[in-house]
Amino acid sequence: LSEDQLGEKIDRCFADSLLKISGGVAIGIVASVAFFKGRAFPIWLGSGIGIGAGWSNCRHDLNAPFLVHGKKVPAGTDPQGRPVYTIVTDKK
Amino acid sequence: CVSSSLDFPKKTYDVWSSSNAPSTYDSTSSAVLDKFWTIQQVKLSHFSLKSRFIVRVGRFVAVTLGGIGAVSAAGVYFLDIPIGESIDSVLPKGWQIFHKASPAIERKHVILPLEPRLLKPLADLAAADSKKEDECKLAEHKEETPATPVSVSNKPIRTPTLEEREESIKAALVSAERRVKTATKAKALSMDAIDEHIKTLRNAIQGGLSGDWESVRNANERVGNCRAEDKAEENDARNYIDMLKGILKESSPHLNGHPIIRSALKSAAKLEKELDEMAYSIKMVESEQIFALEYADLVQCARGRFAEELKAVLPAFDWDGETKMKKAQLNALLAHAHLRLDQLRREVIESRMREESRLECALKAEMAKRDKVMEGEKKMSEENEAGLLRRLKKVEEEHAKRLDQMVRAHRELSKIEKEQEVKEAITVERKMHSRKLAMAQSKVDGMEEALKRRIVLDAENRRSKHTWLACHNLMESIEYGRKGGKTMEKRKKPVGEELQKLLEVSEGDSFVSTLVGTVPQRAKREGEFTRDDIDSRFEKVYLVARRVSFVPESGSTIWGRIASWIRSTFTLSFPLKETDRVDWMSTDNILLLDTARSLVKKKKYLEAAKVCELLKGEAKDVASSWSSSVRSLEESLFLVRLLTAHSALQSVRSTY
Repeated sequence: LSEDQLGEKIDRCFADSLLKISGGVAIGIVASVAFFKGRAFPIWLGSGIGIGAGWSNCRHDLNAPFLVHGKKVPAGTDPQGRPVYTIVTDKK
Repeated sequence: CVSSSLDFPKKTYDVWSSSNAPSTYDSTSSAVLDKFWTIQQVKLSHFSLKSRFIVRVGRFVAVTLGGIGAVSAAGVYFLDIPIGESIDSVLPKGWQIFHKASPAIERKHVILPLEPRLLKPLADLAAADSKKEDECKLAEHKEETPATPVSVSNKPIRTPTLEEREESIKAALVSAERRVKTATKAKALSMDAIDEHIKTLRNAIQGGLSGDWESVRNANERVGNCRAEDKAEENDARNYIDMLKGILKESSPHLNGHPIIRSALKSAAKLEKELDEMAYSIKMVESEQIFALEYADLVQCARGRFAEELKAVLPAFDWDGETKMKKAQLNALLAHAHLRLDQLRREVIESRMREESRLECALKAEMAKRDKVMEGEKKMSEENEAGLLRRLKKVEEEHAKRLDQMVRAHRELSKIEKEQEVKEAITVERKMHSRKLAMAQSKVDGMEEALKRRIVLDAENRRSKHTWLACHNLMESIEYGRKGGKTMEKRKKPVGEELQKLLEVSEGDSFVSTLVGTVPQRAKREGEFTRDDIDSRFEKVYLVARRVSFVPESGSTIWGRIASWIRSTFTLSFPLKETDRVDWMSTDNILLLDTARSLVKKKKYLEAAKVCELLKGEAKDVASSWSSSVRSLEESLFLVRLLTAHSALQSVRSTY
């Protein structure tokens, strides 16, 4: 339903941002430990990158009303032999 | 222009001599002036020649045109009739004198107005005036010139009609009556004149020498005149009566048995009798006149006899009228007078007796004559009576025969008429009976047809009722969905089964099958949101759309969305009244959402969906799903209502 899409987008946004941030933080920690002798800046850098990536993804998701979210499922092949995929939307 | 050029002041300078110029002018200026004037003169002379030519030509043309115009107008006036008549009506009366003055010019179809002439009143035809007219006619008749011969036309004489004959008889009768009246009056006047004459004569005789003999003479003259007049009148009247009789005689074969003939004859006889009576009366009066004329002689004789007797009795006495008598003479005269009186008395008695005996004899003779006449008349009357009785018997027999024939003919006719009437009545009755029979037959057929259809209608009615129930069931399924469902999706009930049932129930109804086919597949497979779900969804739509109401169609950044959220929080919504005029195409999303909410509260979902269609930007996307759900629901409900109405109509139609 169209009225739920914004909420879903925001949820995705938050989830994605969280993942991005946590991933950035993790990479930052690893880099800090591995390469930068326990300094804090890679962590901040990683979290910043994560926040930025999440923000950017959020923005794109919010501004793309026609983007269909779901699973990409193969559905046969085209005449040239290449596989054809369809997107199966998530049913609630 | 020409006249002005002609009036142009001419200078007196000659063309070629400039020496005539006045000395006041300078030589150069005079030369210039000269030149100027020469040029002007040349121009003027040229112009005057030209103008003269033009004038002449102009005059010639004008005169020619005027002449042509006048001739054509005259020709049109005299020959062209409608225009001429209209001119006559417009021009004054004096113009018409022209017509009288010009008899050579004949105007066709021109009718000049007639001057009204006053008619003189007709002369009064009273009897006294008619007498004078007759006198005049008599006088004129004597002075009349010999009659001019009348030309006899060769035209065939038309026989008069019955009405004309009647009219002529009536006219003759009226004129005869009038003449007889006039004659009667004249005779009355004559009788008065004769009486007057007798009176005056008696008075004159009794007066003796001192009597008024002048009046007697005048009375005598008057008698003569009146008698002449009344004789003339009598002749006239008799002539008219004869004329009437002639007309009656002529007309009687044509007017056979007409009552006018009989009445006219009676009237003529009456008039003749009247004239005869008046003539007899005049004769009687004239006999008195004769007696009055002899009266003088008788008086004279009596006087002479008296003188003789006096001389016989008293021979010595000479009476001159004045001498007085002696006593003895008077006694002797008295004795003689007594004796004479006795003698006269005896004579009177004797004459009376003689007269009486003569009268008796005459009476007896008259009686005998009358008896004879009466006997003869009796015999004649008896004979006439017998003849009349015989004729009457014959007529009665004929009449009885004719009556019998007529009665028989009438009986036959009435019999035929009655038979005809009976036939006609029978025909009418047959027609009416056959018509009634046909009507009854058609009614019976109709009843049979109705009874046959009753079964069909019953089945139809039952089916329509089942259809109606199925439609209501469908309506409930769509409106309320699965009542046990916990979520909106679970409450959606697919209506495929109900539609199938509906098709089964209304088998053969193409309208139902068509409508069922138009129901969307989504509604058949998944169902529709219920009204309550629509309401609750709208609340969410309203909240979300209000938050993103300031986000444009091209999208916005996250900061823009946050700003839209904050702005929508601080934006107040004022309720709209129904009378407010709003330009929906240029309003903001907040107002539209508020309007949609108020419409949803009033359960006007379709209108709310239409308002939501006017949203712009992100808000429109948010409300799009809700609008389509509302539309889908309303479509389905509309189809179901249509089916319900159809089933109700079928039920009503199949009710008898």
